[in-house]
Amino acid sequence: MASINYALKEISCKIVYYGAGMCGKTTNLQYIHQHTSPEKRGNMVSLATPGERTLFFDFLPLEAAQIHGFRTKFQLYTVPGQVMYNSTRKLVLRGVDGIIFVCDSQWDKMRENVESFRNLGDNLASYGYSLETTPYIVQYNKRDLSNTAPIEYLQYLVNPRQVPNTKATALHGDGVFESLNAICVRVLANLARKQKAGVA
Amino acid sequence: MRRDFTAISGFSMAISFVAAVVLCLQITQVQAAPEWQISGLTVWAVSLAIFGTAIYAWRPGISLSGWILGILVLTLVSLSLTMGTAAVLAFVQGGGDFTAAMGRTSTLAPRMCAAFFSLMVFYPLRLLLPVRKPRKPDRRRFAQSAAAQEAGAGEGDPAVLLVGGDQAIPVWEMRSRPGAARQSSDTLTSLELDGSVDLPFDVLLAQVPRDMWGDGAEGYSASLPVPVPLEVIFPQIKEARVVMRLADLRQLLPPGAMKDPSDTDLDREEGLVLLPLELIVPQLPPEALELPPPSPPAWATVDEDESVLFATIPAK
Repeated sequence: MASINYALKEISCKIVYYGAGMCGKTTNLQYIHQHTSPEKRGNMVSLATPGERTLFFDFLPLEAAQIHGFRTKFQLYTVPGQVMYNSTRKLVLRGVDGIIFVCDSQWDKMRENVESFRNLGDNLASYGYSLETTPYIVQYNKRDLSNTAPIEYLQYLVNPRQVPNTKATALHGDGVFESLNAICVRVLANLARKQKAGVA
Repeated sequence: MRRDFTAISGFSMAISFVAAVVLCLQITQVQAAPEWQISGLTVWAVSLAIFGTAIYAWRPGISLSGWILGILVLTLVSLSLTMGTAAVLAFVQGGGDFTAAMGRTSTLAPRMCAAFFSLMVFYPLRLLLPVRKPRKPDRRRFAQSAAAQEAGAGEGDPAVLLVGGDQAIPVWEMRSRPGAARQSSDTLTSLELDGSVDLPFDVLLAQVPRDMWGDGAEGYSASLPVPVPLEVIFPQIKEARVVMRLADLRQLLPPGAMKDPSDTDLDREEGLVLLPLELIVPQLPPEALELPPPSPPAWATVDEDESVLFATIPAK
């Protein structure tokens, strides 16, 4: 969960990029790492196989603009998408504040997207979280490819709640920061809402 | 797999025609003078029997009109071979007496030669003969099929086996949620389920293991549309995967495309084939993908003024 340090005037939030294997989660993080000011980000930690499959998770600390006098830090994580690494995915989700569900737009990945989305719900439930209470957005990635499904069908499959969604081509950076901004503002707004309600 | 009529097909027809004329000419010139006494009617009857049998063998499931059309075209080809041979014969003999040449080429041996060669000339055209429309599937059977019931399957169902191409492949466990099934059925009640989605014959056949192909599998047009009922598709579309039992697929495919059930193992009949989503979804009615009115959670709405936290810098 987000931590607020009033002494240091600092807010820290955890954002997780979730999705099926090879859908572009690490590519999102790499693009953010390459296109943010070095003063505003830490080193990107990535544990991957030689085949560029995420073995454990990727991690990128990032600092946003000051909000109401508070320094706002985001810790960006990805999960390994492969089915066999579910315990790692579950571990990464612990204390999550916001999720970007990266959906591979290719036709042959539809089933994996659906499975991954259900797996996300299951893993959140294991911590007592839910998609009703945890801010998340859906990023439809790889929109530049020719064999992509229409957005309507993707929405139908993985976004029945019709939460905000973005279209992206993470490899070229399209939609990457839009997605990050979209989730970060919702995470902060949710935090503020909880503060008011005296929950956080 | 049957392909469309191409330039190569036309070229092979022309070559066959020329070869047939040359051979008929040779036969006409070398045949002995006293010939078997077989009436012209008998020769016609034999020719027609050969034509009819050939067309039926080439195109299992051919329609009656297609069969008659094929025989007519074959007869015309045979006649034109005979007349072509006569024209060449009249020319090479120098006299130019076409009627006399026709008399010589209309005897038994040249006529039978022309009949058999007309089959060779006509062979590429068989693709254009119309076949019977695939039978409409028995909807009740589909409603009870494993594929249709999959959408309502409970959590922890055993893994299903998908067969694709020549081998069976295991796929991930089916885990439909009661909630998802409920939403699908809600949508279903408001949709017209009488329609169907057309899928190309070759795409469906490619999903059938090769050893289950029938004798007529390669005789059908690759693009022959095969209607798949919407009531099979709708319950599964939420799962991002549409599957069908091989036994059910047989009902949809034209006759002869798959072997008879009696010739295949019963267990294999229960195998599931994967239908291509990319061909199905674009044909669905728009209301099929309609979601209920949006009810985004409270966290989803934010002040637009606070919508930019990060900005990009150029890559180094």
